[in-house]
Amino acid sequence: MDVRIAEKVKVEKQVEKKEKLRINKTWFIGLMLVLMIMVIMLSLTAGRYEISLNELLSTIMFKLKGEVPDSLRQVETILFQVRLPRVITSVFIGAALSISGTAYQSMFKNPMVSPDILGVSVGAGFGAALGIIFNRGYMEIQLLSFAFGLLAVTVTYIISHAVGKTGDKIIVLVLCGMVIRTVFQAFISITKYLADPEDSLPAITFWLMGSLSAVTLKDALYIGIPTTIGIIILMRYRWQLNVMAFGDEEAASLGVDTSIIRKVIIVVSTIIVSMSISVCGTIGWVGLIIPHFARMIVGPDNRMLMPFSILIGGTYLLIMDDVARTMLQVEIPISILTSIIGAPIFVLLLIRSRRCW
Amino acid sequence: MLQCRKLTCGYGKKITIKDIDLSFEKGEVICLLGSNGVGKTTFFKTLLGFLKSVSGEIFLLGKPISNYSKKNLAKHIAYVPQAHQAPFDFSIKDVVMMGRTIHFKRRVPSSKDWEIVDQVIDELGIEYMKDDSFMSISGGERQMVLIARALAQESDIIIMDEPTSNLDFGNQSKILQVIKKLKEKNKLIIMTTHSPNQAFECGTEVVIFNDKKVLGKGNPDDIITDQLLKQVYDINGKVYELHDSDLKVCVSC
Repeated sequence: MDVRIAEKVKVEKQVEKKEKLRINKTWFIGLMLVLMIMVIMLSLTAGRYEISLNELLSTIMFKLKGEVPDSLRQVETILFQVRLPRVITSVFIGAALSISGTAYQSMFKNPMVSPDILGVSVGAGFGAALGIIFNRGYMEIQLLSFAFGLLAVTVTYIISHAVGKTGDKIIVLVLCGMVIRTVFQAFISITKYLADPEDSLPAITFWLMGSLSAVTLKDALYIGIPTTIGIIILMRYRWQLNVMAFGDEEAASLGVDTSIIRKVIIVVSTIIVSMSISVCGTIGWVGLIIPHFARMIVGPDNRMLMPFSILIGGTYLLIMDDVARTMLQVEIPISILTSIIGAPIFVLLLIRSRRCW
Repeated sequence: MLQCRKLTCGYGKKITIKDIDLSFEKGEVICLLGSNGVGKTTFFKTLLGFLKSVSGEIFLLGKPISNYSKKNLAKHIAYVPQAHQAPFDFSIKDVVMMGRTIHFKRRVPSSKDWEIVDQVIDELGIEYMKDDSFMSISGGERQMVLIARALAQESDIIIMDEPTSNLDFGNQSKILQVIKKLKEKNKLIIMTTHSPNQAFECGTEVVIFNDKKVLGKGNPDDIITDQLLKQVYDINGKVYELHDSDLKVCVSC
């Protein structure tokens, strides 16, 4: 009898502990979501034309009811024509870069990679530059940037596979990415050299630096919808990505078809990354540091890690964009900011997580 | 249950195993012995479908394994690699749960999967570390966790690649005890080992690979002899019978 009671208590305790663990982690996600909404609110109020939180909330309320009073017309225009599209876009871009980085790191079982480390960004930049000097339309530039982004990461992967039979595969993959980046950087220089200095050269230069200043609501949807679809597809593989962290052979013995999943993830990540590059240039570091940071907080399980990286990444890029547009009289290109801030953050993360990832 | 017919395997032009015929049944513990580089690992990789056979075929329940999808093959054959490091620090429970991947109904673990994982963890007596992380435990414990993962997979065949390598004497013995337990559950275990003594201790059958061929197959007590040690390992070893039990041991020199 006593044994049975003891057994029951033990089981109950276990269940309690399990529940606790689960709640804890979901808590982080809830907290991050609240934080993100707060940052979005603040971002909507910040800018050259100051909007108070009060004005913001009442305008939104009126807008939802359908009729905005004349006194708030100007606020409404700025809010819905200028700031909201920009805020939405930067959240989506941050989310896209972060989840691609997270997926890449799990898939290549390598904490040191991200789409930009493996050459996607530079490849996509070259594709776009090519489109610009040949005076192509927006869609074609998009396609070219996607195609060359995909080409760059594929070549990186194939070379590292051929080279890295032995030795430290993590380093080999990163080094191959460096080689490919250098090559495509040279290609970009060629296009710049050949470009018309009056016309396409500044276009390429500004395109590569990127800016969210001219984003419209249409742009926001244009990037938001495919990014959302991409995120949903990547999220479907969250558990398989966990398994892939143990390597191809073990994953196969556990019933996961790595070759198909790897292709899907590379293609989807490259699409959403090259889309964001086409709006705001080659933003460095986000895809590398955000997954690291998120992993430090919620651990490597992609079921938690992926949504958490999306939230942190979106919030981070939004804050960066706020700084870019409010810190100085002129706008600072956001890619410059993320590099200046990203590099030291990454070094800090490296020092903190030296023991294990 | 598992049969190799005229199986030849190797990497490209380098043939390591040639024209072998073997068949294994449930409830057996097969110990593969052979010197370094004789092709044990290549043979395993072929069994697991990581490598295509050069010629010949492997049959699982009468059907060639090349006809099985990865998912279906994983339902029948589980693999326990040598204890290794992982790039990311998953918890023990998550690692064991990975064995359930093929059984998921909706892409992520269900409460039933968690039940089975808890059950397997209890069975192997590793519940004390189930909330620890994979990188924080010792090599022997990691090997236990990888065995737990294979058990959670609920397949009939478990292939183990040198399950006791890099382990101390105590941990080696613990792993062998677990293997004996698995045999009682009517599973087919195929393992490689560098120690003929382990074949005496837990093997129902040994298969000796030598010079691309199967040199011997059968009861360890019959197969492993002084002469065989000379032939396979090129040493003047001796096989002794312990006088207080019917266990045999090999001694080199």
